[in-house]
Amino acid sequence: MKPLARKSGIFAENLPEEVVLYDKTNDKVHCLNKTAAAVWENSDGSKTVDELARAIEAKSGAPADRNLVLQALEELEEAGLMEAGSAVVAEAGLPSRREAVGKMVMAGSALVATIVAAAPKAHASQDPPKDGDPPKAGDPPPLPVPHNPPPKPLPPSSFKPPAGGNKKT
Amino acid sequence: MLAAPRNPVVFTSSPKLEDNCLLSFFAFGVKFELRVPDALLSQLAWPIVPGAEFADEGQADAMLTVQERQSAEGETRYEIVENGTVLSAVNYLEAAACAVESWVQLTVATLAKELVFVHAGVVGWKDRAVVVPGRSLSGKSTLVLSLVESGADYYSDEYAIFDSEGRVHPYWRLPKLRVASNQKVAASLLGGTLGGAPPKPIPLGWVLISRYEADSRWHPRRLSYGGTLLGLLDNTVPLRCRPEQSVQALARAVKNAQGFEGMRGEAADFAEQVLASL
Repeated sequence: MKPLARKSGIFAENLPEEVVLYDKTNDKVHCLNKTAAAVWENSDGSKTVDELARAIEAKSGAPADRNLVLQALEELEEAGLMEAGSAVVAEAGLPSRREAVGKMVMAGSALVATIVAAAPKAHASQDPPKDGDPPKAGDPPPLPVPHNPPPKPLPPSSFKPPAGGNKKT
Repeated sequence: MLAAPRNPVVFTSSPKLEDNCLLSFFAFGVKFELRVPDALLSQLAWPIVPGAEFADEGQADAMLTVQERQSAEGETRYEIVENGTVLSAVNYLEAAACAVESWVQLTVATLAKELVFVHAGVVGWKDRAVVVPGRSLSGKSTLVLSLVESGADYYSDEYAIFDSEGRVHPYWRLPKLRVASNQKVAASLLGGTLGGAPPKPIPLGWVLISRYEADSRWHPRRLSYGGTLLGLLDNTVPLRCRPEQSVQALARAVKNAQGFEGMRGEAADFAEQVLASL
């Protein structure tokens, strides 16, 4: 088994101790910690897992044993950042870590964190302000309800558009 | 939870476009054409996007039309249309004005080529920006107002605008609060300030990723640079359209900033706890 990282359609931004990858094929953003980044960068299809561990250790000076490399490969594979056929998870017989890789969480031992880039229109909200309606953190923005009573108008701005617009259509 | 079904109202008439007015303007480098019924025009606050200026006719980067339709029962509906697609439809002029404003601002945020818009509240503190990312209705405006009441400088309640150097620009409008009494507080607190020149762009100082939980205190954990960047990217409007530009600008910003993540309680308590800790 000589793991091969998928690099087409991906661009990388280096940060201190981490690498952020944007995958244009599925609009996912991945944050790789130092170990995962080193594994991804060195997985060129010419090295075995043990050779990867040695290469990373020689390059970074930090210990990188076989299990850590396997864990990184598994998470990279789950994130779609390895070429198909790596089959590292099955070969290693490790338990899946899928649950541990939480959205936006670089906590604990997760080496790869992933978010999905939202389509611009997903940011929309046309819900007008309403009295006595507290915001709900994290709720998706509701679409306007056609039969709601009209909201109270906002305080007037100091300047209004010219009557009739700047042109008549 | 799904909304209860409503009796459908059928709008069969053709849209009335003959009374539409054209507003043509520039905002954040985006040329916009907005066609709205006369009746709606008077409901729109201006500038509809902070800093917008009227423009001459010419090729527009974006166009929205508001169509007015009537049902057989005489009910009126306002449809906001982009390239033949109805983005949303509402039954009252005031709601239509809110919806138009929201769509126009979102479209400008998507298309502004030189800048990266992130859904976030922003205040200035010690000459650096405190950015609180969050989508609409996540309580950003209330948080921002509380931070301002605690002594921070107002920048934005809707978008953190990043330039290529990673500096944060103001989105200079009155915060929009869902509770009318809080809206009055915002107008009273910031009305005079907003009449003046907007503050200058400042470097990013802190990114606070928070989630409301009753009675919580702000005991955040420190995020890595990557975690901080993900927190911003998760709320970045043009991320899919311009991923390289978005990631690079925000990466540049976070390299000199600190990110924190945690639970927060009431906005006023959170504001005091945050500013005391920065």
